[in-house]
Amino acid sequence: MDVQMKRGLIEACILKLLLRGDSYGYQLVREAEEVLSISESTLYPVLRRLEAAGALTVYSMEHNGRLRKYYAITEAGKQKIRDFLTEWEDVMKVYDFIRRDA
Amino acid sequence: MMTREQFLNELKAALNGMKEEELEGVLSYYGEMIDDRVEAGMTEEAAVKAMEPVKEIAGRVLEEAGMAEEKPKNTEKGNWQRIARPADSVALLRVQAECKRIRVITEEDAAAEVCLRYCIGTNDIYQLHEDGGVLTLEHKIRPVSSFVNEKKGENLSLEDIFSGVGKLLTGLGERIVNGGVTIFTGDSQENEIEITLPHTFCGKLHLTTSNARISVEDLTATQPMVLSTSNSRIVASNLNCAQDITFTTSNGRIVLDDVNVNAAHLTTSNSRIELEDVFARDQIVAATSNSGISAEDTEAGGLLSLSTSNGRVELSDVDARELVIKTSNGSVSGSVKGKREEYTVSSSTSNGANQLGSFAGGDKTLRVVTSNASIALEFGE
Repeated sequence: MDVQMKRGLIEACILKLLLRGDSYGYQLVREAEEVLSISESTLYPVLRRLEAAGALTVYSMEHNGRLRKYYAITEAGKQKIRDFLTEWEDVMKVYDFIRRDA
Repeated sequence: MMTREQFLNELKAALNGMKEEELEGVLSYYGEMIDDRVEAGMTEEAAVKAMEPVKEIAGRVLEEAGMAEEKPKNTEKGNWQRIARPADSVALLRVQAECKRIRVITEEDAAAEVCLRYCIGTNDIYQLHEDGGVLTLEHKIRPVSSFVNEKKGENLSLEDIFSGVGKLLTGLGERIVNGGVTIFTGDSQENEIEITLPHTFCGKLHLTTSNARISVEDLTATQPMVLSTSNSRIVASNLNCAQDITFTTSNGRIVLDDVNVNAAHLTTSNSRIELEDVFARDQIVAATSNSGISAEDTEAGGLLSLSTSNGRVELSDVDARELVIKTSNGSVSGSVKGKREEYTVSSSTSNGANQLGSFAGGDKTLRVVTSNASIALEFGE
């Protein structure tokens, strides 16, 4: 798959997972398995980019005597999901068109 | 076996030079990943093993941080050397090097010359030998100790040793881990060797290096090709070879794109093998470990063997007389060219769905083995 496209898909998936509630790294990797497999080293830059874009915020909370980082979706993140869905409606139209004539 | 502590220390060493704040972020992220796995019931050892190799993680982090960007070539500065020989006088070219990168390129209008180009920095030692058509270039990086030795006679303090290392650190070369000390390979301008060959090269190409990336572009070779390195990747694009290619590395990817050869033997470890538009008249044998393999539009006249462990195998329009796929703890998915009835299939997995099954059919054979994961392969129309 095209790198740029894959990047967009992973970002949208992570945001969607955060829509279910705040989450942490390991849980995100496991839950993402449902739709696409991503490794820890793929997830890290994605989280960094989403944070830089203001789509999520990070906070640390104590868990079993250690600090764990949690990620929470922001309003900008929710907007990003809506943008994604609108954009992909057009993509799906093209997909259907190509599929019909193939 | 590596502990959490060792893993994080290695990662820290591999990310040397990164901003403190960024580095802390990466380390706490991976530390947490291991802790959460242990909490989920894994042993510390298994949790560390579940991480990708340190080199790969570091590569990706640095790439993302824009630190791994390749520097534009500056041929104006530095002590560049160029050695050229008529192509028909060189039967075998052998380069042994510790440099950062070896690039093999071809030039459309190269005047049938074999040309080696390299830049000599103060820490580089080059030796050139020619014997019976064998052109050998050896490159070594002067170890830190010899740098420090130069200061002998003066009163050498601990600070001097560190400033010696510090001076080496100012270079822009690749980091090389030597006995646990991370050092930069000094002030060579490029720390790379560029080999230019005529578009069609009739000699054997034999490159041996370590800790250095090897890339081959746009080459048509009539003799076998042997490339070996370690801890780094081998990349070949638009390569034609009338005979066999043998690529060997470790802890680094092997990537083939648009490659046409008689046979390909590809071996690495702890890293991916990626094949795209690869055609072999005879066989393709690709083996790695602890990582995935992907093959797209790849065809072998005989055997096509893809084997790994702890990684998934993804196929797309793959074709071979005898297709053998072996992995563990990873799924096998994608598509095989040719109709279902052309194949005799045997497949097995454990703890996973097997949509392929086993059945007798045509002359082509397909064998798939994995564990703890699913098998789902489709056939062509």
